[in-house]
Order: sequence, then structure tokens, then C-alpha cells
Amino acid sequence: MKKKYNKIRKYLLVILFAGFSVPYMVAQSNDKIELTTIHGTVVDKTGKAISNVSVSILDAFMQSFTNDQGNFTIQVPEKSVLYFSKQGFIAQKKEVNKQNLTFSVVLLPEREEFQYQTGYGTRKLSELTTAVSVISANDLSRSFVTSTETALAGKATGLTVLSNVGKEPGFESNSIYIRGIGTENGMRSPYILVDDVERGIGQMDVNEIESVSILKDGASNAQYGQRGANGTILITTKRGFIGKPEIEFISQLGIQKPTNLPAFLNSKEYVTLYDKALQNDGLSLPTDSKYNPTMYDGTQNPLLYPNINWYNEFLNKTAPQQQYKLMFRGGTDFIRYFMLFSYLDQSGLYKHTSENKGYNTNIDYNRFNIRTNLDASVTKSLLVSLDLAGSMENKNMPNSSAGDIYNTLSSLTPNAMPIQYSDSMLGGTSQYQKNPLGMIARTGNRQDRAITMQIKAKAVQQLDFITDGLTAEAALGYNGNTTYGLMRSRTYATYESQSDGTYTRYGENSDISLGMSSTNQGFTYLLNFYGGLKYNKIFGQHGVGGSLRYYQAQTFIRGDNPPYGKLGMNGGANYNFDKRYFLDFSFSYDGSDEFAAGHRFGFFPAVSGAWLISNEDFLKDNHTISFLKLRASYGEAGNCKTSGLDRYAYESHWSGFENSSGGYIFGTGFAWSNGAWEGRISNPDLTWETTHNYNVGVDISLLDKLTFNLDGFIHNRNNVILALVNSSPLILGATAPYANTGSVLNKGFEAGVTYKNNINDLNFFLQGNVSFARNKITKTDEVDGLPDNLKRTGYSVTQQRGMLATGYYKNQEDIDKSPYNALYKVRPGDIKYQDVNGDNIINSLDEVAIGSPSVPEWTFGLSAGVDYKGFDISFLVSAFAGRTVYLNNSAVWLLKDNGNATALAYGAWEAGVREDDATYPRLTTESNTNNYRSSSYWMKNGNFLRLSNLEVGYSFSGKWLKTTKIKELRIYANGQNLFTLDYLSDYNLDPEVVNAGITGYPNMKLFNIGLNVKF
Amino acid sequence: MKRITIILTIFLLFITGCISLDKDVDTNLTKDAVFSDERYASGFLNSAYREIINGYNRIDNAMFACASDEAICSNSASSVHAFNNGAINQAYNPEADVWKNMYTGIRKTNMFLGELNNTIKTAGLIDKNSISIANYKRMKGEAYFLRAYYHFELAKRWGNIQLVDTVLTEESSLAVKQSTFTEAIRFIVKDCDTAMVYLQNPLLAKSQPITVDNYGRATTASAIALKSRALLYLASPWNNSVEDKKLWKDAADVAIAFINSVNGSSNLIALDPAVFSAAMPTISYISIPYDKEVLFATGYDNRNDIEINNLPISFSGKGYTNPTQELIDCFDPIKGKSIDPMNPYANRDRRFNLYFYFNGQKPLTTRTDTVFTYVGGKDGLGRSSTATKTGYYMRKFTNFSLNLSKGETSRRAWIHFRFAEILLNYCEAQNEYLGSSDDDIVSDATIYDQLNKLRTRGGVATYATGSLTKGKMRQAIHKERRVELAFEEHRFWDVRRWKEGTLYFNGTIHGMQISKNTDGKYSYAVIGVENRVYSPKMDWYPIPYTELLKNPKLKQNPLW
Repeated sequence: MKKKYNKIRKYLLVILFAGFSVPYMVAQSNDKIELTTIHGTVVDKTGKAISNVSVSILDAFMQSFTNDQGNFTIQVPEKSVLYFSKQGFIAQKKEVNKQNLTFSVVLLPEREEFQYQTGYGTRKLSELTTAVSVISANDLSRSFVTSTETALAGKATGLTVLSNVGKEPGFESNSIYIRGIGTENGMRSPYILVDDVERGIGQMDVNEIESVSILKDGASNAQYGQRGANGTILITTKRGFIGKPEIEFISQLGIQKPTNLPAFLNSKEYVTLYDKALQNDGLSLPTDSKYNPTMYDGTQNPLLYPNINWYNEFLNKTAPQQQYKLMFRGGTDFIRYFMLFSYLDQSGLYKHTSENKGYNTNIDYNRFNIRTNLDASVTKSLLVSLDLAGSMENKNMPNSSAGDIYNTLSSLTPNAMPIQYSDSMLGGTSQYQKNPLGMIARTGNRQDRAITMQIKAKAVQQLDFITDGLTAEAALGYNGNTTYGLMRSRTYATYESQSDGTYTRYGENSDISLGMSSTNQGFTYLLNFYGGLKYNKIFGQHGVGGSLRYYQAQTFIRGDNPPYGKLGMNGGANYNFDKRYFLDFSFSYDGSDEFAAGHRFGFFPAVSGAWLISNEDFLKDNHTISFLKLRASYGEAGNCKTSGLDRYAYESHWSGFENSSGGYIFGTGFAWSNGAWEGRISNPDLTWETTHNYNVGVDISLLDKLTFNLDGFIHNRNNVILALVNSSPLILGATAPYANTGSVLNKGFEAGVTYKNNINDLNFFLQGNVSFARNKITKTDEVDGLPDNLKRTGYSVTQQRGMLATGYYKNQEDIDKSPYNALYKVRPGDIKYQDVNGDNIINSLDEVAIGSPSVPEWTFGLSAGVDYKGFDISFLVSAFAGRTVYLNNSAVWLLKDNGNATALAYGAWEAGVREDDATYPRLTTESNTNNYRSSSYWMKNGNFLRLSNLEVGYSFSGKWLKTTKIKELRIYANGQNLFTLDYLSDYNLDPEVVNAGITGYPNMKLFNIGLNVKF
Repeated sequence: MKRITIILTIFLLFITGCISLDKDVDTNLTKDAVFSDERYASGFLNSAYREIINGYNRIDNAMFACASDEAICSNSASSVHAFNNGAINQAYNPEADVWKNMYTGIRKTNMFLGELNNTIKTAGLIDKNSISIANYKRMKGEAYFLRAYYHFELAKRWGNIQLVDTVLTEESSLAVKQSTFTEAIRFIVKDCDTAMVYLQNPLLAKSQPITVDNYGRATTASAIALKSRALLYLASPWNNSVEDKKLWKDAADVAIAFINSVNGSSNLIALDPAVFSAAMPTISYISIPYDKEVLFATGYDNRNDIEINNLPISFSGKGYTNPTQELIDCFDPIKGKSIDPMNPYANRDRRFNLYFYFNGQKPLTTRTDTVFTYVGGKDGLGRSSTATKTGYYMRKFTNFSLNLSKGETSRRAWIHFRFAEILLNYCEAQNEYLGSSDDDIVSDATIYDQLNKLRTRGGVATYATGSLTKGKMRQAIHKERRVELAFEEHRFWDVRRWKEGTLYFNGTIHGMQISKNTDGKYSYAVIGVENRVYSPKMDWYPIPYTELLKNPKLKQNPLW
């Protein structure tokens, strides 16, 4: 039996928590109280003894523990209340009186609770005081996703994930925002850590992940010092457990299909419209019969009068993809493991890819992922972990980029040229010297490879011999990323037939070079160390904890020296009373080499508290309200990043090179002279941005079935780093410096609801979340005297801007009496704009804010599912609102620069034919700088709702399964992006990436079937 | 267990000492390092040349000539049309970058001049030996010339500019006062005079030869040429409404002194007769050696964008620059001949064939390719979106013999000053200086002499001394300027400084519609091609709106 009336601990407590425990200590300071000796036993509900249960009077200054037989002895004053507690059990109180000196206590286990990652530690949901949302492994791994970023979309409050580009295999790219945008600076993305080491997650396999925590408020981000201001995403990978080995195999096969592709008109329609456009421009019709619509009736020579649907000729309708994964998980007291091997293969859409001997020019992306997480209990108190993870990516593609190819496909008119006159003569014209067949099949190929490697070694030592509950930990992390590209190139010529029977040739045919030349060589690695102490202990009704950690990290980037360095301390202290009142402090003292000495380190404090009302006596036994908690927090965090290109903006930059292109060419030889120049003007006072974040929240659970949480926040970002381009006169003659000049106010709320229930064998769940964040520039690099309509202050960081369209010019008279249009020599049917500043001139000074920001203010996710006797069905719908998109691609700006036309052209303004009911300005072949510019005419509602995932599955049970070693067997089919509701249906564009399929690879729908087997 | 703790602690301490946030290797040069290193100190001056304007396709792929009545641009997408349709205003100007770039160049020259007496000197770079002394003397002259050049490019555009002769800070840049055009030209002339003292003088070829590898650097001749043009612009009607004859005299004196000194020297600078040699068209009009007629030009560059943008469409070009009928009509017949309206392009000034691609022209005698701009011809009107709209393409500067599909390039420099201009500067200034009425007969033989040099080279009739009145002489000089310096970015400014914008740059611009008749002959009809807008306020550009906002003390130009 251990007795610990330990003075040291008293002092420790007094120092750490003086502010809260004073009333209890006052009572204790009256010495010479008579003590009574109490004996007893603590058992669980099966009667088994529980050891190491803390037995204390309520203020914990007298404490004892049960031994292996569950027995304890403690001396306490008469008329005290004994408090029995142990991690994992519901604490109990017993009154001490003269009649009752022996106790037999039964402790009931606590409900298992999710452990949240919060900064450098885990907390239970019930103990959380900050705003954190979590995505668990189950939510992530169901669908066939190639990118972990995409897998997060729609699944947590406060998180917005939007694709930046179409889904070209291996080139997925997303914008991730936590609580929208909080800064005008270009660095708006959250800080992402995988097992406490900073890294990107695009190449991870989703099955590596145990949980994802989204740290949203200031208090949870303060620990991340100069990088926490944009929020933090913490990823925890799966680890082993003590128990029988678990083997899981996953196989998924699928097909990809573009969500939207533009529908261009055929030659006859195109030429008819083109001729009309020429007339509108007051231009004479070309005498060339190519511009005669009747030549496209199908009877003419297709080499002279082509009618080509370029998308159909060069894109397959679908492309396959497949994914296989094998996982092992298990362990013993001594060692525990998790291992994953996975393989992914995705093909692209191009046709005509096997024209070449020895290599294929289709896009093909494959990736191997491996991960091994090992934990070894070297001694009873020392845990050593080693995590090894890596990915290998190979991308094969034609030696023409997808952007190049899709730009060509979308700008080639159907009658521009034949694909080829003969096998050796590809079509081309002076305007379209590129031919898609040439681009796909005759430019050689390119193979990009990337290898990522993560190593993390960690040791955790329990320091019970110093004091119970104290642990020390240290970890070293490495993250390497190597990219290497190989390229074999050849070139092709295109030919244009002339009326005299000759051909004009563009470009040259050249054979593929024998050797491959290397491109895109990159090497980046990060080294990271952290180590520190943690303390966690329950003293009766008082739960205390604290941590202190030192960290440093360095990132090395090839060709970008010297390395980026950061270091700092962070830590915190938490206290709870009786699991009812929680109070947390945290801080970081953090430095980055982005700033000059003296402006380098920042102190970021945070405080947060929670009141777990459902643990109060009046609600304790209420089964309807099974959980109710109020939270509030305040915290500060920083943002030290401007962009990778402007390092050391605090000091002046000078460059000098011998015989470089920074010099000048003198003489008649083609040789550069020496050159030297001054870079951006320095700002020695430059420092990090700081955000001051307030958050309040409530978490409710009803009947343990319906949970609901709500958070409201105000984030105020100051010292936003901006280049002073709008306030430095150009006569300065140098690039304007950066300064901490802006501020952004970001406000919003999030709500999430989960309902889970079952009716007999029918289980169902419903999860919904809604997030709203509206930011407003409160101060920026703007000069006084800027007219209101041009001011950005007061608007969102990504507010769309442009001219205000009021209709069409009706006729010449209308043009003459309207304000002078300085944008273009307008004609009737052109878009008319409002003279916003009233100077009687229409020019760019009349631009105003239009619609909503380009990044949505509202993000919604809704998922639901049912399973019944092995059958299951579930779906996820995500939606975005408060978003305006600007349409300016060749599928919308028809005939521009002799470009293509879609059916939109049939709504075009035409004098006397379609004036008031026109849905499109007059057709023109010219680059009409009045019509084709940023204006409300092309700003469209960018809200959309998408069925992100729909899945149907069946899990086998039955006797035959029991005869095999298979524990679980599930087959399923799912579809992604199957269905979209949006405001762009007239334009046939993907609402998420409006240029997808036009200036780059399309966005994709997916259909998959899958098999999961667990042994 | 204690051992483990000790190990952990040691480990912790060890790692803690490993990084510090101070850079261990300074990969960044400092200002002192730049100006105390021979390579970089001189390299800094070299880099100061980078802001010199290069006129090839510089306005959104169009030649600046398309902003005047010399040509129209067939590329409807180019922003060059803004100069002709009245779209330029304080918020929008395709030349807005010039404001920024020129001041960038000025900062570099001021920085170099400042360091010349500071770090460069104290580092001992100048006084090493007689060669370095001579080099830095030359560089000092170059810096003064460049500063004058950059200010001049600003002054001719915006008139009331800010003169900067120190390295500015953000604060001091708000305190620089706005000068008048006259003040600006005085400043420029002063810098030119200073530059001349230090620059290498090609007029003294024996003592100071310009080595081939220094071609492209400013010389005394460059500084004189700039001074000559600056004084001519100062004396011109746009700034000289009181008709102060002294200004014209100053301009004439500088020009004639230069002409006389050239005539008396080793003849390095002269009108280059090789321009019209048989071999010339195969390279390009502009490939004149720096030391012949060229007084200042940009560096020599390998390029073919000039051809890609401007060759007729059937020659793999885009044919963007289409000379106007107005310009075509300025070219006289060769001496003793007249123009046949049924065959209008024969017997023209020798410059005609070198400046234009026209219907029926065989640009190279060695090849059979013919340009056909008649309606329906392979280069003809409406043949493609960028086919000629006037019936002509610009030939000057283009190298017809390049194989563009092979990506061939040729060497090109953009000439800013050449000797022919000095002759014209003199004629104009002297003609304006002499005589009181436009009806006075011009009897000064020097004017006729200089003008006739150019006409003789072009093969057209010369003017006999005493044959023209002052007014007629003015017309003759203006026309000769228009012909000789076509496409070289003179016309835009000449018309402005003569205050003739509403006359030439307003209204319809014409081209020639050529039809091929059934008998194989052509018929010609002048057609209107573009309607243009000009008003007197456009003589000067409006000061950029954003700059007015940043510095409230800055005043907008009149009428804007």
C-alpha cells in the first residue's frame, strides 16, 4: 500500500493551479485535524479487483491508491468525502462517517470516447475546450479516392475542399481552407501535420489514416505558433494493437468519365454563325468556299471541308482505374504493428496513343504506398516507435501537357483542318499550327517519377519514479520528396493545303531522340525534432495536466538555399474540476528565419474553458440530455509565410552574375555581359501576421443517439503581409517592399449534427454539417482618395470584380447617347455597362464588386446510410454556396480569335430578330474588349450541390463464412460525382472547376466496384 | 531507467544546439559586395541598359507604327487599337509600363553614379590602371546618357514628369516635384552634355576606337543625337506656342555642328549607301553595322518574332502590320519617272521596295515567291483573320529569307538614333528658325543640301536651292521625315509635336483594294479601312491614375 502525502506535489499543484484551487487549500491549511483510518476494496462489476485506483478526499491533498488486490488504506479527517477515480472508470464519491469506516466500491467503466488530436496530445471529446472537428478512418476509406485531400471534402465542419483543376491522373490539386480565408496574403492554406511532422497529404493512401483532426479556433492553433493562423490539420496514422493479427485486403476496380465536356457545333452551324459574326463586324465575307455553309452537307471532299468533333476524335468516353490494398495489424504486449501496401493505377482519356513502337503516350498514373508503424514496449515504462512510410509515383504522358492539348481541342473549329491528309501529313493552318494527333502521338513521351519517404522515430519514457503521471518524449522526423522526370521528344509538321494544290508546312518532322533527357529534378526534405515533458494526473476531483515541448524543423529545397528554419517552445496546462469545469492554457514561443533578428520570435497565448453541464448533479441522471457542454476560447496564432519566392524579405537583395541573361548583349556576338541588379526593397521590420481568434461552442448529445454541435467564431488577422504596390510611387524605380500592412476580419459559424439509431436489425445514420465563414478586408494596401467602387476594403479577399452590365446597346443612336465607351468601338448588340463613377466615360474605373467571393462562404455536407442484414447503402452530398464564378473560357466566349461556337450562339443578339430576349451579346469574330472582359455578364452563381459519393454494399455472413478463415467479407459498388445541381447548365461547365475540359483536363465521375476481405 | 533519462536529456541538449535561425551561409550579395567587385560593379551599369525600349512588336505584338497613320494592325486583339479608338485614359494605356520601366532604369543609373564616387571608388576599382580609369570614365558617361534617355522617353509621353537624380526611398519618392516639359528637356540636355565629356567618341576613331564588343554602348554620337532630338521636340509647336525662335536655333546649331564634325572626321558615321546594295534585302534593312549610320541602338538579338508577326500570311507570317495608303502615297517616283495609276508600285522611290510588301512584288530576285494581296490572292484582303486590311504588309525590318518553320532566327537591333534623323532635325529646325512668313523663299543652301542627301539616296528628284517657300519646305521636310523614318517610332511623336493630330490621326485611314480582272490585269480602289479618333488632349498621355492617387501633389495633364 502506497501512501503519498507528498509535499512536493502539494507545491507543484499550488504553483500550477493556484488560481482555481485556492478555496480548497484554505480548508486544508487548518492543521491538527484528527484523522480516521479507512480501509476498503475496489472492484469492477464482475468483482475483479482494480489496482491503482486513486482514493482521495475531494481536494486531493490526501490520497492513496489501491494495491493489486484492490485494497486501500487512507487516513482522512472525519466527515470528509472520499473520491474514487481511475482513468477509464466513472469516478465515485462516498461519504465518510463514524459508522462507516470500511468501503467496498464498484467502479463502472466509462463509455469509450473518441480521443481527439489536439496539438501535441490527445483529449477526450468530453474534455475538449477548443473547436476541433474530426474525421475518422471509417468516414474516409470507403470511397475510391486517389487523393487524401479529396477524401476530406464534405466530412467535417469548418473545412472547405475544392478542386483547383480537373482530375488529371497524378495531377490533382485542391484548395483547402479552414474557416474560409483569413488573410490577403497568398499563403491561405492550413498547416498540415502527419503524426506531428509537417508534410503534404496528396500522396497518402487514405487507409493509412486513423483520424483527421481539424483545429479551427485560436486556442487549438496557438501551439503552432507562426504557422497556426490558417488552422491546422492533424493526421494520425493507424497503429498496431494487442491482439490477434488482422489482415485486410481491398480491391477496387472502376471507370472514370468526364463530368462535363463542352459541346461545340458542327461545321455547317459554325460557318453559318461565323458568317453572321463577320457581318456583325461590318466585315466582308471571305470569298473562300470554306466559309460557305452549304459546302458542309457531307457530299464534299472532307479534306477540303472538314467537319470534325475534336473531342470525340481524341478522347475516349471512359478510362479505367484500379486499386489494391493489403493491410496487417496486430501485436503483443511487447511489439505492435500496422503495415500497409497499396497500389493504384489510373489511365487517361486520350485516343491514338499506341501509334509508337515501344512506348505508349496515354496518360497513366500509378502509385505504390507502403507504411509500417511499429511500437515496441522496450521496458515497462519505455515505448519506442518507428514509422516508415513511402510512396512511389510514376506518371506517363505525351510530351505535350494536358493544358496544351485541351486548349487546342477547345479552340479548334470543326472545319479548321482535316486531322490528316495522309499518314505523314497532319493538318494544320497558319492559325492552328498544332494538331491534336501530333500533340498526343508525335511529340514523344514524358515520365515523371516521384518518391516520398517518411521516417519517424519516437520514444516515450514514463517518469513515474520522479512523479506519477509524468512522461518524457522525443521524436525525430524525416520527410523526403524526390522528383525526377524523363523526356523523349520528337516533333511533327503540319500542312495546310493551298488552292493551287501545294501545301504550306508548319514545323518539322523529327524522329524521337534515342536518349531520354531529364527534366523536373527536385529534391526536398524536412528534418524535424521535438521533445518534451507531459504530465497528466487525477487528484480526486482535480484533473491536471501540462506539457512543455521544444521543437525545431528545417526544410531543404534543391535549388533554393539556404534551408528554411523554424524553432520554438510550446506547451500548456490544463485543469478540470470534477470533470465539470475545464480550463486550458496553451502557448508557443516560436521563431522563423523569415524575419530579422528581433522580429523573429513571437509569443502566442491561448486560453479556453468548458463547462460540462451534463456532469452536474442535476443532469447526471438525465438520460435525455446525455451530454451537454459549453465551450469558449481565445487564442492567438501567426502566419509567417508569404510565398516560397520571397525569402528574407527583411534584407535587401542584390544579384550579380557573370555573362548572364541579367546583363546585356553588347557587340555583334551573341554573348551576355556581366550583370548585377538590386532586388525587392527590404523591410527590416517585417514580421509575422497574427490572428486573434474568439470562439464559443456547444456540444449536445441526446439519448446518446443524436449529437449536435455548434461553434461561432470571430477571427481577426492583423499585420497581414502585403507588397506595397498600391502605395509606393513607381518613380521609386524598384520593386515595392513587403510590409505588415493589412487586416482581415473573418466571422462565421459551424454546426454539425449526427443521428444514429437502429430498429431491430436496421441500422441507420445521418450526418450533416454546415459551415459559414465570411471574411472582410478591414485594412489593405490602398491609398486615400481611391473611389469607393474601386476599394477592396470592406469586401472579401476573393471578391469578384468587374463592370456592371445593364443590357445591350440597342442601336447606333443608343451608343451615341450613352456615355463614351473607351473599352472598344462598340456596335449595337454589344454589352452596355453602367457608368459607375459618373464621368461619362466607360472604362476600367467603373469596375465594382460583383456577386460573391470566388471561394464559397457556405460549405455543406450531408451523409446518410442504412444497413440491414448485411446490405448497406450510403451517400454523401456536398454543397457550396456564396460563391461567384467568372466564365471566360472558349466555351463561353464564342468565336473569339476565330474560336469555336456552342449552341449559346443561337441566343445571340441580332438586330430586328432577337433584341430584348437575347441571351448572348452579338456574335463577333474580333477580340471584342468590351464584351469579353470581367463583368457582371460573365459572373455567374457558382453555388452547386454534388452527390459526391453513393455506395451500395453487401457484407456476407452465414455459416459458410465461418468455415473459412474470413472474418469479414464485403462487396460494394459506388459512384462519385454522379450528379450535380448548379447554375451553369446553360454553359455545360463543371461548377467546381469551370475551365475543366477546356483549358485543362476535365473533372471526372467515377464508377467502382470493390471487395473488402478481413482475415 | 535513469540511464535512459540521462540519454534522452543529452540527446535533447545535443539537438537543441543544432540549428539557429541565422543563416550560416549568406548566399545573397550585399550592395557593398556588388560595388566593390569589378565584375558586378560594371555589370550593374550593363544591367542599367535593360530598360531601353525595343520597338519590335512592342505593343501587344503590334508595331508602334500601328498607333499612327503609318499602319493599321490586322490583329483585332492587340491593345494597340486603343491609341486609335480613343480608349486611352488615365486608367488605361498600353504604354503604362513605360512609366514604370523608365523609372526603374533611372534608379539604376542614379545608383551607379552614386556608387561611382562611393564604394566603387573606395574599393579601388577605378584607379587600378589606365584601362580601368578609361572604362569607368566611359561608364560614367553611359550612365548620364541612359539617365537622359530614360527621362526623355518619359518626357515625350507625359510632358510634366518628375525628374529624379538621386536614389529614392519610399518617403522621398513622394516628395519629388513635378517638372514642366521645358524643365525636363533642360535636365536631359544637361545630362547629355555631361555624358559627352566622358563617353567614347567614335568621331575620333584613331585615338579611341570603339571595339566591336562594345557595340550597343552609348557614345558621344548617341548623346548628341539625343540632345538634337530633345531640343527639336522642345522647340516644336506643342511646347513652343509663342514661337520662340531661339529654341529652333539651339536645335539647328546642335545638329549642324554634328553634321559638320562628321563630314570632317574619318567618315565612320555617314549615310550608309549599303542600305540599297543588292545584298541588303536578303538580310534586313536594319542590319547596318553600329558604326555606319547608327548612332544608338539596342543590343543585337537573335529573333524571328518580327517575321512571325509581320510577314505576309502566305509566308508563314501573321501579317499584323499593314501600311496605310496615306504612307504609300508619300513615296515619290524615282527621278525622271512618274507613277502609273494602273501599275502604281513601279518606278517608286528605292525605299518603297524595301519598306513594303505589295501586290505582285517578288521580294527576292533569287526566289519565285510573289506576294499577292489582291482580293482572293493568297495574301489578300479577308483571306484570314489577320490578312492585310490595306493591301500592304510591312517589309522594313523583316528578313524574308528566314525559314520560319525551321525556327531560323537572325540578328536584329532596334535603332533609336541614326544619322539620317540628324539631317532631318537640322532641316526642320533651320527652316523654322529662318524666315518670318511661310511665303518667304528659303534660300539657305544647307537645308537643301541635307535634305537632298536623303532624296538622292532614295533615287528621287532633289530640290533646287531657292525653289521652295518656308511653308513648302516645311511640307517637304515633314514628308521626307515620314518616308525616311517610317515604322521607326517617329511619326507618332512628330505629328503630336507639330500639333497636327486632328489632321492626320482623326478620321478614316485608307487602304487599297486590288481586284484581279479577267484579263489578268489589276484594278485599284482606295477604301476606308479604319475610323480613328484624335483630340488635342492626346498630344500628351494622361498621368497614370494610380500614380495620382499615391501622390496627391501630382497634377494631371491638361484636358484629361
